[in-house]
Amino acid sequence: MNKIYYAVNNWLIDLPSGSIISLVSGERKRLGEYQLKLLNVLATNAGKILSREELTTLVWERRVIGNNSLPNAIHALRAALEDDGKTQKIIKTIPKKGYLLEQDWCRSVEHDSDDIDQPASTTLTDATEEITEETPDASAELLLPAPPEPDSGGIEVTPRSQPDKRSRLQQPLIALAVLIAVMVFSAVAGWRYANEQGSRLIATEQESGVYSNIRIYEISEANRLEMNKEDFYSKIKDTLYAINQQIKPQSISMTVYYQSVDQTLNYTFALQSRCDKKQLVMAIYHWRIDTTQLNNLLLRETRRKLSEMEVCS
Amino acid sequence: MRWKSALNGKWLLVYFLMAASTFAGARLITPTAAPQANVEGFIQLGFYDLMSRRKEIYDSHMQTVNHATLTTITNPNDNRFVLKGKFSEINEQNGKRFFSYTPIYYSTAQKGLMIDGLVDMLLHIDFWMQPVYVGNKQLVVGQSGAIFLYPLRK
Repeated sequence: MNKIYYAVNNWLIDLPSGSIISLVSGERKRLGEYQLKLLNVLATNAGKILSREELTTLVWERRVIGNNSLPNAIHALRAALEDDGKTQKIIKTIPKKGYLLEQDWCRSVEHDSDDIDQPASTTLTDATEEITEETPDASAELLLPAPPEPDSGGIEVTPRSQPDKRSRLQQPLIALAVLIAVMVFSAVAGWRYANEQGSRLIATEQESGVYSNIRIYEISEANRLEMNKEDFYSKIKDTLYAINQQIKPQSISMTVYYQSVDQTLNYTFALQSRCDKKQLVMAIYHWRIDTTQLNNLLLRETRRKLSEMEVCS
Repeated sequence: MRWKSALNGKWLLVYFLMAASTFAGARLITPTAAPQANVEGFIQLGFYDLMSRRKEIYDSHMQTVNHATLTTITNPNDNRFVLKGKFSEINEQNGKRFFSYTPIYYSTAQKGLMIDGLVDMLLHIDFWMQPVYVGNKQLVVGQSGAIFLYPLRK
């Protein structure tokens, strides 16, 4: 009949022999009856918090025990399983609730026999011992290393997890890598936030190289959606062509900057020749209602400013 | 297990603190808009309304005096129009320089001018201007959307 055994931190609980067997080295440690029973109860309920009362009932049943029996047994188990009372990586003390055996350190083992090969070993503890005092060294007395026995009884093990020394060394490295990743991500996010928050404005050149003497720039928010882009240039291209034809022989260059805010077109142009510079800052309200009127206005005002330009000698 | 350990409470707190400080640091050390040099020059402003077929042209003179910019706006077609005011810089936020406007003198023979809309806005909000660079050319874009090219010239 198949029977389920448990291994905690690679120590197999062997109830019939009253000991735990290392699945790595084959070493055997004898534990007291109640310590082993306690370990088995914790392993059976791995991942669950068991209260002191539950543990006392399940392990010691109706026997009267001292206040320190349970903490002492837990201490002894931690020592036997190479756990630490401070880090409590395997058996955790949950304040005011009880104890918990971490599921990650526990494996279930299925075997078709009650017998597990037992290497020779000795014990210092009595099977019916009752611990009444909590002493840090008590656990050491409970354990006696036995000669290594690589064979653990031909048992096939289903690992829940395999924490080893190397993985524990890798832990700070992983944490450091995560930390660096978090910092890089935050720095990039901070930089982007600083640059993009408050809708930063940018100037984008339109129809570059179409006109010999005119350059056109649209002012827009840096984070404007592409679908919100408007083809303003096509509305005034004929006017720009006419202006370009006019300023080309005079060696005057013109730069246009524009930004449309709802129904208002902000249109600024700068004229530059060898001997003079002019600019006009225009705000054109309701510019969308009549494209012809808009073109006439732009042409008229540009020509007005051109006429104010000094003629270079 | 290794990932669980790297994601426990203490580490998460460390990650959070480092993320917050790095984010704030990157945000703070990101260079802000270049300080605006002292302003002095003339500029011509034109207000046009295609609906009512109106047009207003103004000559504006700006000069920086004691960290404030004094502006004198006149109408070349109507010498009764004079508007004087002062822009005082309040602060800079997200690359925008905020100014408060204080009127000094206003004289006009007409009412309901398009420039009155701009003056009303200047009087009732802290007006921002934002520098924009096109190569080595500096533009300043005002909150109304007006675009000025530096150095100022008529």
